[in-house]
Amino acid sequence: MGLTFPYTYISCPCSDGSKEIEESRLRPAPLFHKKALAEEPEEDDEEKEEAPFDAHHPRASFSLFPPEHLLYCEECRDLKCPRCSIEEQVSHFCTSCLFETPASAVRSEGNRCARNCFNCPICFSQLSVNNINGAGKEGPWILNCYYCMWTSLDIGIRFDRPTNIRAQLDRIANGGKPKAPSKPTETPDLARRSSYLNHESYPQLSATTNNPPPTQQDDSPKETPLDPAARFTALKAFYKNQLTTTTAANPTHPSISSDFSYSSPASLNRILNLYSTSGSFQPKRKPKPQLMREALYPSEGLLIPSPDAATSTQTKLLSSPTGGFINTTTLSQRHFQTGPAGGNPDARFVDELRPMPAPLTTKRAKRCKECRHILVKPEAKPTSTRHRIKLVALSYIPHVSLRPLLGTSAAGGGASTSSAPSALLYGGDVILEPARPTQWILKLTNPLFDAVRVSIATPAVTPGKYGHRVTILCPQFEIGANSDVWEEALGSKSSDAGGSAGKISGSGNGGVAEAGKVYEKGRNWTSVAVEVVPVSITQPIVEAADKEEIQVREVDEDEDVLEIPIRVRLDWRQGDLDDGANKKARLNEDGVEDGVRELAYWMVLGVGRVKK
Amino acid sequence: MASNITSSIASSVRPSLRQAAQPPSPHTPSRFASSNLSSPGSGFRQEDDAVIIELGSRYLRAGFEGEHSPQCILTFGPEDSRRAGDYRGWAPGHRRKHFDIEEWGQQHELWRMDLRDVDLGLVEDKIERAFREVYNEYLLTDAGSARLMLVVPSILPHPLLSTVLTTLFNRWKYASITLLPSPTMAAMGAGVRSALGVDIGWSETTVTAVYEYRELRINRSTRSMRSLLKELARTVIAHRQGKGDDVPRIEFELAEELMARMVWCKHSGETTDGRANPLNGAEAQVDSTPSDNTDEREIEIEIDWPTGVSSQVVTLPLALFSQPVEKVFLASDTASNYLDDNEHSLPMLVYETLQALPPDARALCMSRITFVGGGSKIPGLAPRTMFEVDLLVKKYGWSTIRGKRVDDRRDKLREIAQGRAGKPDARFQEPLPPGEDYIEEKLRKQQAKEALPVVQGQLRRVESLGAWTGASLLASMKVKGFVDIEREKFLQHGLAGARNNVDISVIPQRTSSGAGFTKAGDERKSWTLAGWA
Ligand SMILES: [Zn+2]
Ligand SMILES: [Zn+2]
Ligand SMILES: [Zn+2]
Ligand SMILES: [Zn+2]
Repeated sequence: MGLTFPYTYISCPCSDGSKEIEESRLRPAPLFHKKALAEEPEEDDEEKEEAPFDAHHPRASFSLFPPEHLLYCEECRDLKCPRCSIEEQVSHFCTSCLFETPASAVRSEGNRCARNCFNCPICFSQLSVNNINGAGKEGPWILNCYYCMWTSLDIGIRFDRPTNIRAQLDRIANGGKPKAPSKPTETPDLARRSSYLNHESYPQLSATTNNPPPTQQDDSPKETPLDPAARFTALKAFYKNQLTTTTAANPTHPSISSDFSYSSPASLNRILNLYSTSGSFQPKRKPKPQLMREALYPSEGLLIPSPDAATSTQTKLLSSPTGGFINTTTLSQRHFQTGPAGGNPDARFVDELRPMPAPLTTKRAKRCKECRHILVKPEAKPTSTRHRIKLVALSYIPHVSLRPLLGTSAAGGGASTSSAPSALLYGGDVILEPARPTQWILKLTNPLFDAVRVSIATPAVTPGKYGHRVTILCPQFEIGANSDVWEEALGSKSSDAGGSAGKISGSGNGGVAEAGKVYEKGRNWTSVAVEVVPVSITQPIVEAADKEEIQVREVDEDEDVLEIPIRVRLDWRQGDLDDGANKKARLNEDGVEDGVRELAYWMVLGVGRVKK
Repeated sequence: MASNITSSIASSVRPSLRQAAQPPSPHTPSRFASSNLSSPGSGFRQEDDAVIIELGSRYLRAGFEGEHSPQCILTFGPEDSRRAGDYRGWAPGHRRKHFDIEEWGQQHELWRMDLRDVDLGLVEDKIERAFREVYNEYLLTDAGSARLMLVVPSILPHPLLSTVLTTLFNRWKYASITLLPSPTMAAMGAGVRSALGVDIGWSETTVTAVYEYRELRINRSTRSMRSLLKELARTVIAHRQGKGDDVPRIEFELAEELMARMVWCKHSGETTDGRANPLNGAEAQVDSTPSDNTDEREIEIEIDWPTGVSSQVVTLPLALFSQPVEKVFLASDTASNYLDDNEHSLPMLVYETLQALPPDARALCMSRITFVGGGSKIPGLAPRTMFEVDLLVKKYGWSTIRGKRVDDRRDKLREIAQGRAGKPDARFQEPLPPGEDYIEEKLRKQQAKEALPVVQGQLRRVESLGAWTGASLLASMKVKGFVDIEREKFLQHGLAGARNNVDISVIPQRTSSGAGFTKAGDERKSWTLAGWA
């Protein structure tokens, strides 16, 4: 496992010298080092100040994207990444059955599929509905997982019908018993309430109370405690009930109006200061305002944990001598149960888990965060993979590839012998020898129909912990227009670098790695040579652990990866400017539309790992 | 960089790209095609329901108001800090760099209260990425369109709070963001108005006295789930070494699984009804002193211990998993005299918080003790804490003589909330200001005439559905939130604007209502930071 070398990442310009958060002084290290670039194009001064990009900085992981993740905004004429575009949900659908859920129904279905799509609570793969007898039209039916062989029988659940499983499941508790109603009565009746008064934990008549409610000595059976969903419903009903009695009974109270809206200034007072008249508990209603009370009974959502609850969990934990660990749920299984759609995130043991309705997913349109221009617009239909609009950055910026320059070449400005990393030939990790110069061919291919001027700059020494030396032999060049092949044939330009098709995958022995000179050039591509001298990755801090063994601190996962930050600047003049009606809109600040486009960004090239 | 004039010029991209602008092919339109065409995603969904997001140092919970459970719980971890498109961490057989137990944590956290260890830029990056994931994969709604309510700890250093708000306002078009303090929300989620909220969190344990939805007092301890995790790892390693096993290492993820699944807390000696606790037999077997009790009670569990490429079955006594709890939360190995204030054991922290309260508030709070946070899930820890608190009360009563260094603690709190201007501990002034407080009067009157029994004065635990769910309850009642931060004002003035407002216009609420609810009349003019000021 590992990275596949070579690779390219692009840092979206939106994080260039990113909008500093006010307390920026607290940052330990800036993402951009204040070091001048080694080979800076002569042009403007402010760019020269720009500090090189440190690909190993922790923040870099958040601003770097594979080029295919990036978009391009034609209004802003800039790259757009997931951080500087805005997403809008277009359609909601289930990835299992590909049915679209109307947006109005998404929430009520808990953001999950309302059909028969379920995921295994153990391994999360898709479940299927099967007849318990293997075949036939008579039930019962079960859900089972072909991957880990879990079935709903493991939690004692079977279904009468093979359809509408979700509704059936909502009414069955684990073990097969009907699920306790999740909607208790909104106003607790006295008889039911009084049965709790005998429990020492629920309200007792305190000595200070002169006006005791009637106590009944009945032995009504103890209710099973409500599950969290039912408790929530009960509490919600309780709060609502307290609020409405307040409003109805106190039309004249200054802090109370009938206006229940969110923006009502009085609302907050009402819920938090909670005035109410005597509610449904006293037979005669007193007009006096009274503070809203707290929940007092289980039917109102109050839950006093029983002393046995913890003990029973522990007993279960201890019960099976070897089963203690495997019968408990993993953290990811618990998280998978999260949501209002019937899971049991408190499940500690596997027999408490519930099959989960498949989560819905969305198709999303994307807009530019700055100008709201639409960048991506997919077709709403779940089965379609087409887009009505999709402005991918790779249609604008050159495609970049890197390959080793094979053989030794002593030519060029003082370049010493170089060797290609042999591992690359076998398609494995690329291993670079420390202190040994290697030469690479960097090739840029132009997707545009216009020729593009390119300047690429890299710090002479890579920023960060390890300063690898990097030299781009030819930092400025042009790449030709991506004219169609037949056009090129008609133009019958003598191809100065041979057939482009052959060159693209060719072994590249036609060029010369020489300072200031392009290595090779094709129809719409140009390649230049890059020389890299890795420094050795030191095994940090040899420390003696408490035992006598000497332990070597491990190198960070990607600390040995050699990555070259490259500042890419592109400019081109847009061709075929017609004199259409919208010419005015095209004018630049000076009132002239010269068709010039510019683009600049940091690119990170992953070359290989330095041998340890 | 490109000039910023607007232009609709066609570029010289491939013709195929431009097809996009053409009208769609005459497919059968889906049900919502018409609204999709005009403006994708907007307007055809009920956007009224607020989104509630609870932020902690380790977890993020997100969902909609009026629902009993969040849609998702995300944890922060090293895999979330990779580059886009780098999925190595999920590949089978992938091995991450090994970290020493003492280094654990930082990679798995969104922030730390100690800002010296925090790169705020990284906090910004993590929040932005996490929120994007939450909206796109779980909430399935457009970020910024619905109201946002953030449930956050009631003490959050200003730079962190500011970073969170700046990130969210800059990134999305939230019109306003409401802040809700987690201890008060936990009380809401228990159905009570006063409570002693014990939050055994990842990086610290807090005990907050909430009285009539106001925070009266908060005590904190560094004893937390993070320290438990480390202690558990050390204990397990030491045990294996003691058995002569060749223990290479334990990884964070394995330790965390063990903590979530196997850790438990023993009762103290006897169960409340006087029976000998059957669970403590297991404990006897692993006492450091060799026991001659040959009871067959030693229960062992088998776990798959990853070793490089494969795994190895390792047997561990279950009793081992209660030891770290004793040490970390109950401080059974250290005399409390030797402990710093912020190192008090859990029962002592609860006791001291109660002790420092005015008697009437204490009477209410002690009968409404809620346990939330990761540690509340440890079987037996909450009952054991209650048991120990009861012992402390019996031993010391509520005499204040024990409360030696209350003032020190205030100073410590002030340090923690560094960057705060003004009087950070204003809300810890215990007596509420007399007079002119209608609520107080009402409360007293009510207590005098209360027809319904009020449980007070006895130690009692009340189960809370948690801070997130409490906020969901509050929000579903469509009342104005605690601290509403309006977009334009924040972007112009930042938190400084809020602080000024507090000083100028809303002193009464700051002193009389720590949770920040406003009195009728001054709520629309300014927002305040209430407890966060
Ligand atoms: Zn734009
Ligand atoms: Zn961007
Ligand atoms: Zn489905
Ligand atoms: Zn399965």
